[in-house]
Amino acid sequence: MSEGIGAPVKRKEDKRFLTGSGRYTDDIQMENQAYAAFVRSPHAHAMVKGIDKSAAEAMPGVLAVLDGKQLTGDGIGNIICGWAITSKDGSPMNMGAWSALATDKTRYVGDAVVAVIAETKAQAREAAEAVVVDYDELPVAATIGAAVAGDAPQIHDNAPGNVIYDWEIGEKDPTDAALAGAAHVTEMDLTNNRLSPNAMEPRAAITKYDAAEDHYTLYTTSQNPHVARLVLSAFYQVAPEHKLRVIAPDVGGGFGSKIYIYPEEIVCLWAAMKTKRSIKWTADRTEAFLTDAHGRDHVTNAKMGFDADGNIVGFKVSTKANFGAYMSLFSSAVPTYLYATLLSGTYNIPNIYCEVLALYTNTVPIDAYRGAGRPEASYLVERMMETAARELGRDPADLRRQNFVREFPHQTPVIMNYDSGDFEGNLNQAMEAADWNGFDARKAESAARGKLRGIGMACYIEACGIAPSAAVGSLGAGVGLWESAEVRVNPVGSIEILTGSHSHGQGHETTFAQVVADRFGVPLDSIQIVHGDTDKVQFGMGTYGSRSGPVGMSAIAKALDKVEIKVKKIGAHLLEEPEENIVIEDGQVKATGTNKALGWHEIGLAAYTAHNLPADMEPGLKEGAFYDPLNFTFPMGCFICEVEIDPDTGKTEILKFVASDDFGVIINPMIVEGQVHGGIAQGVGQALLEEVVYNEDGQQLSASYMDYTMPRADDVPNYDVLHHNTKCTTNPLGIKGCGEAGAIGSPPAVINAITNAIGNNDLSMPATPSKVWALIHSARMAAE
Amino acid sequence: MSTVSMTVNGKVVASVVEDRTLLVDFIREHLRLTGTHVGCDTSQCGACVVHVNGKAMKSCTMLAAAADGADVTTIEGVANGDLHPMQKAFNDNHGLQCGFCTPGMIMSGIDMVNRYKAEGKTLDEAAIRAELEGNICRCTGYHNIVKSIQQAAGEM
Amino acid sequence: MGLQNGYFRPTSVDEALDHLAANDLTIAAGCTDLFPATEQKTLGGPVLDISGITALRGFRKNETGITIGATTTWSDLIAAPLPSAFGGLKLAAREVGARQIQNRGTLAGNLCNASPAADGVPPLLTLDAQVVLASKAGRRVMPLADFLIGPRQTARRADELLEGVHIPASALMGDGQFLKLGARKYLVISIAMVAARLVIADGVVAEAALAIGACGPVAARLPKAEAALVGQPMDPGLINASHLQGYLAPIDDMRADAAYRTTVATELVQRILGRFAESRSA
Repeated sequence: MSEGIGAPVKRKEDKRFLTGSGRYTDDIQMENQAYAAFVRSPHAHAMVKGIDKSAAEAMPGVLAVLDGKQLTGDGIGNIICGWAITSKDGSPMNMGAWSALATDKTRYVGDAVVAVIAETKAQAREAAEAVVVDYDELPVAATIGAAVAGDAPQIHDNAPGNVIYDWEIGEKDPTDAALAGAAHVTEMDLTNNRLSPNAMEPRAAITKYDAAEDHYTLYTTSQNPHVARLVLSAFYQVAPEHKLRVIAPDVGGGFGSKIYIYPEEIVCLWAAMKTKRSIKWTADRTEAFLTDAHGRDHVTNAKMGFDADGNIVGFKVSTKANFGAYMSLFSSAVPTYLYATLLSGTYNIPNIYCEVLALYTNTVPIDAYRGAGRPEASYLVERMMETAARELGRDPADLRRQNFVREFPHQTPVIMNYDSGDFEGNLNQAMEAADWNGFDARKAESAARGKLRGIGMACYIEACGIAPSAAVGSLGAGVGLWESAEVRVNPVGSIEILTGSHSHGQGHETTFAQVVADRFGVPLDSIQIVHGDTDKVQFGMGTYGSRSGPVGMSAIAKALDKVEIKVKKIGAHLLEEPEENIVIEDGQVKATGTNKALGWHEIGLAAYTAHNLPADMEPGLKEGAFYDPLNFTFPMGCFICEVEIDPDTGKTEILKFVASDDFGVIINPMIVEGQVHGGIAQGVGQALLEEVVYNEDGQQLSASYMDYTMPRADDVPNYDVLHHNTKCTTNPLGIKGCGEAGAIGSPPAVINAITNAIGNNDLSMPATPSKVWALIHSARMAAE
Repeated sequence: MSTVSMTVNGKVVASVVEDRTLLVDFIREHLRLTGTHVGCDTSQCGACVVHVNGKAMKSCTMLAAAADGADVTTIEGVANGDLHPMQKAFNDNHGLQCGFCTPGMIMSGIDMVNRYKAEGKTLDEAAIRAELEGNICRCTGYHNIVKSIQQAAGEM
Repeated sequence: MGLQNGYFRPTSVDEALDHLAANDLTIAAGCTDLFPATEQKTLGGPVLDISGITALRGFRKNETGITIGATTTWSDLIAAPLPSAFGGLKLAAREVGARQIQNRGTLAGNLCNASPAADGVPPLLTLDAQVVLASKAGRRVMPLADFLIGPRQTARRADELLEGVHIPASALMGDGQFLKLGARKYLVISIAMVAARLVIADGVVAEAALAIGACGPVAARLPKAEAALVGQPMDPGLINASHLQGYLAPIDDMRADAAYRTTVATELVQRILGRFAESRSA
């Protein structure tokens, strides 16, 4: 079987994970290793009046008890958000100060105040409990509603009314006019529930300081070690960039939460220098709930106008976005350029206007979580379409079909330019697989058993492959979003690919190798993917936003182009044939029309021995490339969900879930389908089970797996995953990306199915049995 | 302090540990067998599942001292040769992504197949999903884990 | 603080009682609920680990009934050949945590932790279960209903060891059932659960024991509902919400609100009775 592009090759990296030989951060043990434990604020909002460290310092094994004043005193900088958003009135966003250890004030439960370094984990934890922090409690704003209330406490002095920014996109007046002239306007108030990403590996860090070299090493659970190095050095001044090595070894899932550089990594690096010890910190699950960036948490009012024929004429959206207590690294981009720019969905919408009010609350910071803004947009657009169809008495598929974008490229009113797609093709494929037309009979059969059956669809679109650097720069991004790769052909012909992408479950060690095998016909076993170490890989922007395929692999393709050119030159020289006749096939370099050929290893050897190379050619066979995308990519698809509900308990069971996606060119269908499965499970989790709950004092009530309802095997169905692909026109491999689609398309499909079953559109996520039951019964009581 | 002695993956090990040492910490920190993972602190996630005297247990919820004299098998000890049929099935069916929950999944999978075989019961998809209640995976959506265990059930 | 010098793993009950008389100890058996319930990062101590006392594990039957030893695990219960009156307890055993927890977690632990949502309690209430408490001063036996005082509170004195659970011979008649509604089936604490043990003779309910859990501070029997059934042909429709009134004190929490719990509790009672009706007609 082929090992190239399109082959469902089994994963090369599996063996170490299957045998317990994976090497995650917490598995690493350093010489001279001490442990860190953090004293965290038990209050959501409080002044720090004083810290008594004496008892902790006297405890056995304690090496240091460090606080925020020491940290800032040593010149460690505040944690920043790297994307500047400008408000409607032209003013810059109000970024409040975030010190890795709180100095004067804590702003959420879990805010780190003191770090204790001790010989053992238990000693560090016990000493942390002995630190006495004198707090003066302040009023708390734990929700969006509380943050905008008239008497809301001021969380950051430089953010009046707790407003970070008041941003807009699109044309307000034409949109208002379109809605005023519409034959029908559908209006909804929707909440996108707050989630915790919950990668199964909790965050961890190990730091080492080499005093003789003044050199720092950080092992960390990161999706982007190079970004971590850049930010830690350039912004936080923890260590100079050339004196800091960041390694992200095997990482147990990320889903966005491991993009950011958290206080613990900063403090552990700094503390390693202070104590001259290697320092390990590993979060427990409660700490993960209390400190990992959360996702979503939007409250939105939306109006969608239709003309008398059912064509969308305008879409107006007003969203309040919760940011938590501090602005996390990419937080500002999520409810703006990753959300509002996708509000056109898969539809022709001539007028769109969206305003976003970004707010501080006394909760964990919120940032990108799988999908990041796009699930919020997809949920909004697809619930609006479904509700509109019901209000208009239209078939929901037909109303979508009528409004689909059909010509490409398509410029939306909100920045995005869709390059390709066949939206109706995916819709048709999904409807056929779901036996949409047979639904009425199935519904009748359920009704005969006293059950409510419902079917719902969602036609999502998202933007991946972030992103053209100049474009995002003009929108406020603090970094370029290219990717880099290096292809190293060894003298024996084996190939190493050094990539700035980072695999934490995505299977890069297999798919990236397939791209190389496809190009040169060399065996997969002769290719090694190297990633996750700033000392080995020249540079990189990491893995998030489904960018490793469209951006990371494009960089590899570009480097392969350069290698191919050099290989052909060497081949032509050695075979004494014209360069244009040289082809690379099946791991051989051949001259067409002759029986002359060289083995791949012979080329490698020739390049490094340099005994007989073309004149002026440098020895060696190693090429690097930076790839800067030309455009976003636009994966899209149609998801259909069918549910059955027990009206007496409100319990929902998913009977069928069909996904038809357009991911462009697929490198490994097995791995792509796995990405879709996992994404759908997270989306089903959001729709049915998951929610981070705070009480009004800002205590997180759902901070363990006893209370935060993670989807388990029998909460989710089997998934019917199909493809109807159109090639992306803007990158060399034609890839669109697949990492987030499942989580983006599934929540509206599930909720549309439930609201279809119960005949009530007023449902919020998660659709718990008690909420569904209440809606069924309110309808019944109204009827009686 | 307690002196504990047990057989781990066929080897007798003995160590003096603090009384409060959990079995999972004994396995990870003392024996340096780091394939057994810790994913939560409420005995919910199952990343720490090992076999104690032939039964699947969560090693995060058991004191090392309570395993004194026991026969313990961890992920490092399941293969007799290259890969155990359950490990191979996970590779064949793409039953893992980030790999963190995988050792626990495999230990639970082996346990359920053995148990159903011993009881002469059929391990169908619904039974596998129900039996997986003690193991959380955030990557795979469980679809391919279920397929993996189904395949292994036919091969074990 | 840690439990240096504070871990005891006796092999006999007498040895355990000596430790309990001398020290203030946390009793541990399977430990499956100990860490989650204590919300401690490390186990507080000192600890008396009774999992090494082999005499406390298993079943003992005599003319007075069946006694289940304190460290009998849920897996032991599932596997044991027991009268069909234990059907509800066996179903509940399958819902305690997951398999790995059932292999480790014990019946006595479930009772001593006294969670309002403990799966084992409603079926044991329908079996008229009594707990046997041992101390240096002797043994006392009390109904399970009296043992459970409130959420996470029991009548056990600090020097006492729950030795076992006794099911009187009079409660070994009939068939047992158990039904639970949770945000999911297992692990996450339930929204509501019911247990029933019925003796049905010639189509008429001769004896009825019903209990409900997770709808109040402690699980409780439902005497009004039981009275409504006895002497009548088996019919789930005999029960309505009024029969549950006064026995439910559900709370609003993240999982569900009180009104929902009340309604669902009635529905669950009707459904569990429906199972008896079905099995009778089948």
